[in-house]
Amino acid sequence: MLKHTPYQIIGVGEDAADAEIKQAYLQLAKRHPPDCDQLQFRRIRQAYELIKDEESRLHYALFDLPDIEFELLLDDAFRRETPAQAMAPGDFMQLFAEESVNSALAKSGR
Amino acid sequence: MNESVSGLSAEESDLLQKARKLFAAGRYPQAAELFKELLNRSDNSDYRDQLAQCYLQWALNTAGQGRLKQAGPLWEAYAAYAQTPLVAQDKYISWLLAEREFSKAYPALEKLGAAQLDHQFPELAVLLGFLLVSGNTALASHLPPDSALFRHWQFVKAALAAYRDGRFEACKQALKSLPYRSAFRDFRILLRAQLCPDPAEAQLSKIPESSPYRSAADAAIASLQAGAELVASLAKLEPHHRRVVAIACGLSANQIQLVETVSGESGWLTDKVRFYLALQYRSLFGPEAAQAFCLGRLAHYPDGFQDYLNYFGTANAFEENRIHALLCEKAKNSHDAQRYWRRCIEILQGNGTTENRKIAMILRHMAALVPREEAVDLLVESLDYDAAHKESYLGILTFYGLEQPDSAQYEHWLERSLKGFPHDVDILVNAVKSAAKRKSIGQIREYARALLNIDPANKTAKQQLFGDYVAQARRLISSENYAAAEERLQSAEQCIVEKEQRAQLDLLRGVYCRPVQERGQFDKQTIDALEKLGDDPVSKQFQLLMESALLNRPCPVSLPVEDAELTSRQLKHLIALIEYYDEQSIGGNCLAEALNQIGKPVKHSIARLAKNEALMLSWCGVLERVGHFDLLRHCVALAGEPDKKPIWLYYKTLAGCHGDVSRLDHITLFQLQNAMAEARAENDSKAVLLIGRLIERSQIASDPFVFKQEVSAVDSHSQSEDLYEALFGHIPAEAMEKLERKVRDIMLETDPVQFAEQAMRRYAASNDIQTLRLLFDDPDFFASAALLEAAEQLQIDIGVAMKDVVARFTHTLS
Repeated sequence: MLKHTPYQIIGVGEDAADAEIKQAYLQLAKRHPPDCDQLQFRRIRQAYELIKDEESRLHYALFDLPDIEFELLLDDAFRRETPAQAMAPGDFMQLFAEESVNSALAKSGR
Repeated sequence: MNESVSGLSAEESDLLQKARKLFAAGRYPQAAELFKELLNRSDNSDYRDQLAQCYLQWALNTAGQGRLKQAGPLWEAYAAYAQTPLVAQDKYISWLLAEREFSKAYPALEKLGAAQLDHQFPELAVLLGFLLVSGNTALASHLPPDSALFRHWQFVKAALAAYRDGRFEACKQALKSLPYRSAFRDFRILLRAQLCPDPAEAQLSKIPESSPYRSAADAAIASLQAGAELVASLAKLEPHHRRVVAIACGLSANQIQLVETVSGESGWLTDKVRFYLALQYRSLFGPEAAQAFCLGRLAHYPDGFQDYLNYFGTANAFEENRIHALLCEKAKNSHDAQRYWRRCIEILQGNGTTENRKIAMILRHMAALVPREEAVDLLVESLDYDAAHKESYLGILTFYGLEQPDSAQYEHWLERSLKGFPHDVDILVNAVKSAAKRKSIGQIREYARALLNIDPANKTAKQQLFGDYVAQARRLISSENYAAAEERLQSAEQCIVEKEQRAQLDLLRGVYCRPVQERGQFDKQTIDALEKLGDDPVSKQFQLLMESALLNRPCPVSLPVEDAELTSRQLKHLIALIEYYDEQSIGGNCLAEALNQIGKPVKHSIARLAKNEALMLSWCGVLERVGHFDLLRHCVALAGEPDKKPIWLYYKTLAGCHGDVSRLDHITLFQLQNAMAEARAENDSKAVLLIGRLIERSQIASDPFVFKQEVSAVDSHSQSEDLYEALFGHIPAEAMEKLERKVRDIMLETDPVQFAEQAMRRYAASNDIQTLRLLFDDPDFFASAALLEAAEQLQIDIGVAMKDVVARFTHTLS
């Protein structure tokens, strides 16, 4: 599931209290320190800022309009559970099937 | 083809000329026809060669257009007329192979020698290698058996067999047998990337664009990707490769369908397409994420709102209005955003007091979206729902204290703020400043000390206490109690926050804080004190004048300043000094008086510095602040083109009316309104604020209702206002709104004076010009004329003509 709300990013429920949110944020920040993945750390930090206290949470609830990139949806929908592997020989040889040959020949003839 | 045509018959020569021209123009079929005819007339070897060239170029051209089937026979025609060695044989073979004309391709191949294939036609060799890899193994028997291609094929064949059987180590070994320079080089890269996919992308990118393996390489790269990157790569692949990779990556039918849809969209996906893709594939993206995406996308694609509601619905009316309000904000439609927020508030109000905090928050949010004068009302309203919000109090105090000064309102809100936050630094700073403005010494001390208890380094508190100690010291100096004065100066020393204060203390000590009989005009103590004031005699003299005036004594020293010229740094210092004395609210008339005395050097200094616009504007600002309009006029006149920037019109106007805004006529006000609009367009918020305030002050100064109350008489202004109403009162509100908008546009495009002149010229034939001139001095007549112009431009029939307006208003003249 795409983690797009600050609650999802920090990993707390929408009814979590300040202390619980802070605890979760600190743990998460420890797992993703800025020197390892600055982008991820910034994402976590921004999410925390949005929900760190009641005032912020209310502000978020009232005035936030989500701004998710389409690429983020695609990233989530086409994510891999395991690291990428080479194609199986059968699939690889399919890359040289007749249709591919035709197109390569047409291109090379010009 | 530029040989001489001498010795030919005129007709043949003409034909040859034409044929050559056609050839040069690239019209090969027509040129070939003429060369054939020439050849029929005489079997000339030149004609044969030229005809062969026509066929060759025609064939290459045809192949370039992708018509490979037609290109083959044309090359054959070329071969029939050309002498050996034939050119583009490799091309001819590749065309035949592309058209699967193996019966012609193979004999042609067999005619090639090994060296020819390996060295002259490397591209053909790569293509033949590609065909072999693709399973066209019959081809091998037609290759020159001694060619490198044939030899290398044996290694590749072994590598492929091992790869298919999953014997990857054997495959690697077989590939190692291939020399670096081989027609199978790109294939080797491709297959190695499969055997060791870790740095695959970098390896595969080495395969050139022209290689027949390029598209397989792209597919292999895509197969190693995930997420949006995979989709983008798949979208660019050939359909067959896309399907192969999708299956290899284990994509679901839904994912494949989405990829196909994205591939069908050429280039960049628009907001609309993205919105509907998220709607259509919401199960793939996850309904919650898809909804959030679509909601955010509505800001860029507002037409999707109904579909959004149809697919996702909204939780309640509050949510629907909230979304509308936020979308309007994104579209910079503040007016509608406010309307939707108001609806949200109404809904929340129905839920009782539990939602008060939300209401206050919305009101504060709305305040941030509107002009300050509207914002302050919203902030005041928000306090009804959240009385403990300090920033709202501070916002209100800033507005009534600085932006649109209103001392009664300011004091009222300060009192309320102090009641709520008696120990808050920001509120106490406001309180100190207010007390200083009112010269309430007791309160200054009280608030300043309270402030220093909380914040020992507080600048405002220190400044105010400094001013207080210095004022006490001055009184003691005047009564010649120098010892006590020195004590106060020492106390003041503890509160110094800026260098001007140190200089002031040095001056008081060195020049004034000792018996008169002990002082000479240039004794050592005086000279030392003056030294410390810096290198600029004008600023020194200014300070001496100020301090003497404040002590009610004659100035003890007269420095030679008449011919002094200030540098920009020195003028900045002088500005800071003037501001310093003004801030302490101790300037009064002595500030203007001191400025008059140093007027001459200041005037010729700013004449030299007139090109430094920022400095000139600072100077104008301080002159306005202390109300020295003579110097301000001088400064504006020097500023070059004062009408260029809206802010200059502000200072010009202010200097022109000597600060008396009630003297401004309506033409000037229109000019100011134009300047304000211009400043707004240029994002010059300072100019907008200053001009807006000037206009407002002028309007208040000439308010007919105030006049009525004071004089209890019916004035001509209200009479003409009635006339305006009588003339245009019948126009529906909607049309009136349009007309007023147009009037604003006209006034932005045309200078008001220019507009009046144009209108007078236009109506002079049917009206007395002197009468018109007098009428145009009446702002309501002017507004009526502008409204007529707007109606004409918008082609709205309002049933009123200029003659009606003139007839009505002429009565007011008598």
